[in-house]
Amino acid sequence: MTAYFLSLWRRWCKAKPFFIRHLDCGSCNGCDLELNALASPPYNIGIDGIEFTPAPRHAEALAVTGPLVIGLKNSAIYTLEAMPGPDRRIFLVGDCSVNGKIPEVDNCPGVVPDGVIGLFNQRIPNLRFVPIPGCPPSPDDILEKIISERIIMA
Amino acid sequence: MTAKKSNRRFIDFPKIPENSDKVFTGYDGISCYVIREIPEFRSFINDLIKQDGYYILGAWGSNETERAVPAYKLYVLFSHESADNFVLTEFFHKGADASEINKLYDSFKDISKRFPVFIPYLYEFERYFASELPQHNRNKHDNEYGLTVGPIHAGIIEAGVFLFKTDGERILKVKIRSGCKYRGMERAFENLPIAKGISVAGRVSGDSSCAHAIAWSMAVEQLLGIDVSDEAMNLRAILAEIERIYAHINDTAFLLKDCAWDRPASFLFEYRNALMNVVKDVMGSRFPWRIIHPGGVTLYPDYENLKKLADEISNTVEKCRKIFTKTWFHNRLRTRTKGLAVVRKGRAQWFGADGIIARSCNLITRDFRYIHPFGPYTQFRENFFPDFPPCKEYCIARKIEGLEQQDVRYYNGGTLSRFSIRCNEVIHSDQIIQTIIDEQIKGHKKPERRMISDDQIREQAITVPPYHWSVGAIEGWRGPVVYWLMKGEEDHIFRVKIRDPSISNWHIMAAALDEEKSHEDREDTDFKDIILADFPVINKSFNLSYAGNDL
Repeated sequence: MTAYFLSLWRRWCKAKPFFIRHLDCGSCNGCDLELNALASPPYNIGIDGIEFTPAPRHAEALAVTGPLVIGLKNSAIYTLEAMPGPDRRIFLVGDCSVNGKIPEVDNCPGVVPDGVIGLFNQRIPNLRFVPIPGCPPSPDDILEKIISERIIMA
Repeated sequence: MTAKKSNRRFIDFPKIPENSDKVFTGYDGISCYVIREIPEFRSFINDLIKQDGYYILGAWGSNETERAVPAYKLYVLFSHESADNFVLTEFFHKGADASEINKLYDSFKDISKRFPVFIPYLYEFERYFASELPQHNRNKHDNEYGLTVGPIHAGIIEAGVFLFKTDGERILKVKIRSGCKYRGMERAFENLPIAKGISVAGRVSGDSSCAHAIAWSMAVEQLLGIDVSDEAMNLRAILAEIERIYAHINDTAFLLKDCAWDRPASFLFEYRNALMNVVKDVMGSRFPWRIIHPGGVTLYPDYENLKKLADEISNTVEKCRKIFTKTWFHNRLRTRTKGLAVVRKGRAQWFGADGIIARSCNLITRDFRYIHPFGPYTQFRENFFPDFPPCKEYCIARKIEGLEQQDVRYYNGGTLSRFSIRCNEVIHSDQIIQTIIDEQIKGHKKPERRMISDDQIREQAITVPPYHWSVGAIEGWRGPVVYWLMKGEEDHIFRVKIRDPSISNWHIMAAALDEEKSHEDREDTDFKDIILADFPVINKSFNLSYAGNDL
């Protein structure tokens, strides 16, 4: 029975691939490493139809790492606006992007106060944010959140 | 730290130039000179580099107008090429006048023209830097360059701007505009209690977080005069080596993937991931920097657990070694990477290369594990580095019988030599870990938990007079990570300077991609033109940190 539902799920996944674009907003590159690990063969995300795409034009979701820094503010807006609408999903990977600040570190002059959520909400209303806390979250955590998001979509 | 003094190798410090002071610091191996005139400053640096065998680790400015003698200061830190000596020079104009900072900045620019100093954005120099922030702007086009890439790249990598000047496919020149990821980590340290600095240091650069945490802890311990137990030092060395194994396996895998060779890359990814999960079981996290704390370690695994980890590491490295040996001799890798983006030894010396980039072009003594050792590295230096250069003994090629040494030209500074030095260091790190666990930890009783609490650190910090400074240095997997820490009133931090190895190495990468500068290399039979499709391979072979550079 499980095998039957699994095969249905896989067929659905093949029919509806899910493309994610990574966006660095000033992370310490710990979360980027874990996203890289997720994209590597041991996790085999291709079987669930998940793929990291190089271009935001093809992306259904953004995976944001890092709090927002001044130097990448414009780039983040351009990337968001380059995504096709109307239902854009934003995965906030790591504590930095979830809270809009580096955990346990205050008074960073380069970090924008409101963070990614504040900036994106200003530009486009009704975005769906999916927080993935952890410093850094393990690939299993990230994968779990992405899969549950896919189930909600279905 | 004091117990192992006898094993460390110091040489005499240079003489004091005229009209300047030598400040007694009280720490072994560090000497501080205060110099007041620009020509003297210049000639002193010149003598240090040309005669005494020092090289520049970093230079930074600091606004110290709040102190009793208000001044803007410029510090330059040197390390000796082969002995365990540091030299810090301090140069300042008295007075809190804003015009002083301009004079200082001019002298700074003067130094950076003559010597390899590339650390322009610091405290008071930040205002020069802020106007040059490479903001991504749609309406502004830089027509001088054919192709502007970034700050957001295609792929899961960090943000940085590359300006390519190309002729068709061929790359003529690359300008690297870093600074996009500026977060102000050095500023975040200021006015923080010393005990809380560790949480900032661990988040400077994620892939070498252990090295940053250890370097910070060592700076704090030196400042406060804390003795650290041997067990804690052993565990720190093991963590640093594990981080090196992680990073090098990842980089070699990506290099193979970029050379259209996914199969061995997939195996390497899998081995690395399995190793990380075992580390998570033993240490509690896949990136275990939180174990490190000033004064010791917060968690000490049992011998059984550590032995389990050591066995897993030796298994992983053995499997990786098989893949390295097969791929290294295969033409698919060689034709792509041999003689590509060669860094010449003289050029590397000029730019102050360090870490694996320096070692890949035969500047083999630039290894802080050998020059500035700590803990187990002081005790086992002869075991770890039986015949210097360190990697000679563990060359993969030597593992294969019947191969003549002359066939193998290793460290000529090309992309292939950067690949092979990574392979060698993985094997070398495994041997270091096994030695530490077999010789040091085996048979010892479970160590008492010698952790120093935050309150104890605070009490100790109050006894140290204000504006004392210290230096903590360690060899991370990219190269030396150096922290300079100056204490303020009570237990607060006044200034911190972080020196990540990528700071100097970015300039070496730009020089290696410059066609004009590599003109003389064309006589070399291995020389290759660099095309745009080669750039990812070269970038990955250097694999420098954007976050650690921009800070």
